[in-house]
Amino acid sequence: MAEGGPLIDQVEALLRRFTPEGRRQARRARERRWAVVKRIVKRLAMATLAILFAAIAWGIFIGPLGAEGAMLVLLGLLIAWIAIPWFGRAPVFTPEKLVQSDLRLLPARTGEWLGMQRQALPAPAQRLIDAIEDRLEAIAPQLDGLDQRTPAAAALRKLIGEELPELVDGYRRVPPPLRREARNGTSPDVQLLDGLRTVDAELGRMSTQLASGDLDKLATQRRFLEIKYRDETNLRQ
Amino acid sequence: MATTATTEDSDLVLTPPDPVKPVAPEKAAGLVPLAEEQRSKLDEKVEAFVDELVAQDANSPAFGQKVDQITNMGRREIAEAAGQSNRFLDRPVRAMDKDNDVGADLAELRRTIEDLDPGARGNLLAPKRLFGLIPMGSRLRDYFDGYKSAQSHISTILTRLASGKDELQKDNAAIDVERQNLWSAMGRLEQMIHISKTLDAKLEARALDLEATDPAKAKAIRETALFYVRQRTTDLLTQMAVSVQGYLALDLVKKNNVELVKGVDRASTTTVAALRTAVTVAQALTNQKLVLEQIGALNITTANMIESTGQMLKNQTGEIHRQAAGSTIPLETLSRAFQNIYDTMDSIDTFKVEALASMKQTVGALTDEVEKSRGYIARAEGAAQARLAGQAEPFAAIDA
Repeated sequence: MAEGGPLIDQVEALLRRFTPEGRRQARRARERRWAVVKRIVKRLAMATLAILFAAIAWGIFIGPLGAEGAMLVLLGLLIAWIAIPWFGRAPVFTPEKLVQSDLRLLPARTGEWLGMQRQALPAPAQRLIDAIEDRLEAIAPQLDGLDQRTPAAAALRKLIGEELPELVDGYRRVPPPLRREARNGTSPDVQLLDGLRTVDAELGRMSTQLASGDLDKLATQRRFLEIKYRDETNLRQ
Repeated sequence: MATTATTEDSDLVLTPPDPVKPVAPEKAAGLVPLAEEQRSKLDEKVEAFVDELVAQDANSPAFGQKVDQITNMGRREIAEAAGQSNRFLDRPVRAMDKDNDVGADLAELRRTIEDLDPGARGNLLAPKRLFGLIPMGSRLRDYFDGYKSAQSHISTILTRLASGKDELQKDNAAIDVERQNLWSAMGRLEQMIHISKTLDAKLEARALDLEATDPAKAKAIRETALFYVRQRTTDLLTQMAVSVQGYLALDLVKKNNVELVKGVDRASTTTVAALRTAVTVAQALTNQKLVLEQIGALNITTANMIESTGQMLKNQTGEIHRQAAGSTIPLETLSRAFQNIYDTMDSIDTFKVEALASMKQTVGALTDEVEKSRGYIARAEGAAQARLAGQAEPFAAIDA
């Protein structure tokens, strides 16, 4: 954390809660917590049902369970109910894990990872991180129908899975006292900001590019209807 | 009015478009006009860039960075146009496939129609006899019964042809959109070409000025900045040539599709007309009510779809009734209706052969050019990899 004074940072954090970005940030955090809860509940329900069904199937096809069987079932349930919440907490993504994730999950995961990093970054970078998180959120639904082998998919994966985390990590590795010091004209702080700005712009461009297929499709359909059903030689409007 | 149908048929002229010839890079620029306002804005940018470059020490890293920016100039515009050229290369190829689909349907229609052709059946009016002796039924009746069994097949083919026509029209709609995108991409390329040509002239002039006062800087400008500017100009012009050629090739595919749609329309029309004629002739000759429900239904949809068909069928009905009233003419009328179908299909076949040659030639030329430009793009990408991360691009096309 920059040494500009914890008070200033606290005040800024407080003020941020009232800005639209701050609210979006809070909403994202809420959604992430909620997603974890949902995931755990779903897994618990599935594990419980599976154990009970297994017990019933055993009872019907193989033989009576007996007291030992009932104990085993209870034990199984107990283990499931302890293990699932334990392992199902929010997964910690490291840049190495990000690279391996499925492209459709990548924006959400990178966003989550960025969210964890933002406290360690200077205030102007935090604002850019918020903007990037917004972009990531917007781009996520566009990836649903995207073939992962296309160059566009590969470029996006490279940008948000590798290059962006590398930039942030690289900055964090610089010892805090050196971050503000200019070296060859620019300081690491400025370099981080520049890099984040480039990522932000590039993400916007990629989003437009991904949408261009759909935009073209719509324009084509309109034109097709025009060609098919409208008398083109008729010039009157 | 089978006679009218014949005369009407003669105006079906399907013209295969001429193949698109390669566009020389030197001639590629200037297709998309730049607005005067854009020109002056770009000139200002160039002026500012040259001033900044000249202000730097020729050996400083800052000078080197400025030169790097030149090597990077227009990278995005080239990449964007190249991405499009990859797509428009496969469009003519796919168009040829689609032609084949339509061609297969037409061939099948022809085979089915040939089975019904009264000309191929000998004398239909002669009485039918078992072993040439015992009178047995009427040839004519058997002949018209053939229509009933063929009608569902014919209507299936016609429906397929209609959807083939839809495909062709959809293709044309996509081409229109693609050409619009290509046009704006070419506009941006044009801007970059303008920038790099202006940069060339300005740097040359500045180097000449510096010759006396600072020969070292003049040399540096000539050997680095000017060298890269000229390289970039070549890259941009090469890409522009490919894009222009692709733009023209797309137009060729579109024209080809339009002609083919005309052909399909006419083939459907003449077929429906022949079947209608058959209905009338059957009525006149055998007093047999030939009911072709499926064709009837199709008739209505076809007539609604194709303006000319509706018109033609309307005119025909009266004429056929009049001619069919005569005793010998009806079969001749029917034969002529069949001849119309054959004529249409023949002209489509001729068209397709010629259009295919055109298309193949165009695809060949385009493939060569795209291959050539890929070499340039690979070099441009290499330069881009070498650039510093996050470096701002000095020149970008202005969005209109």
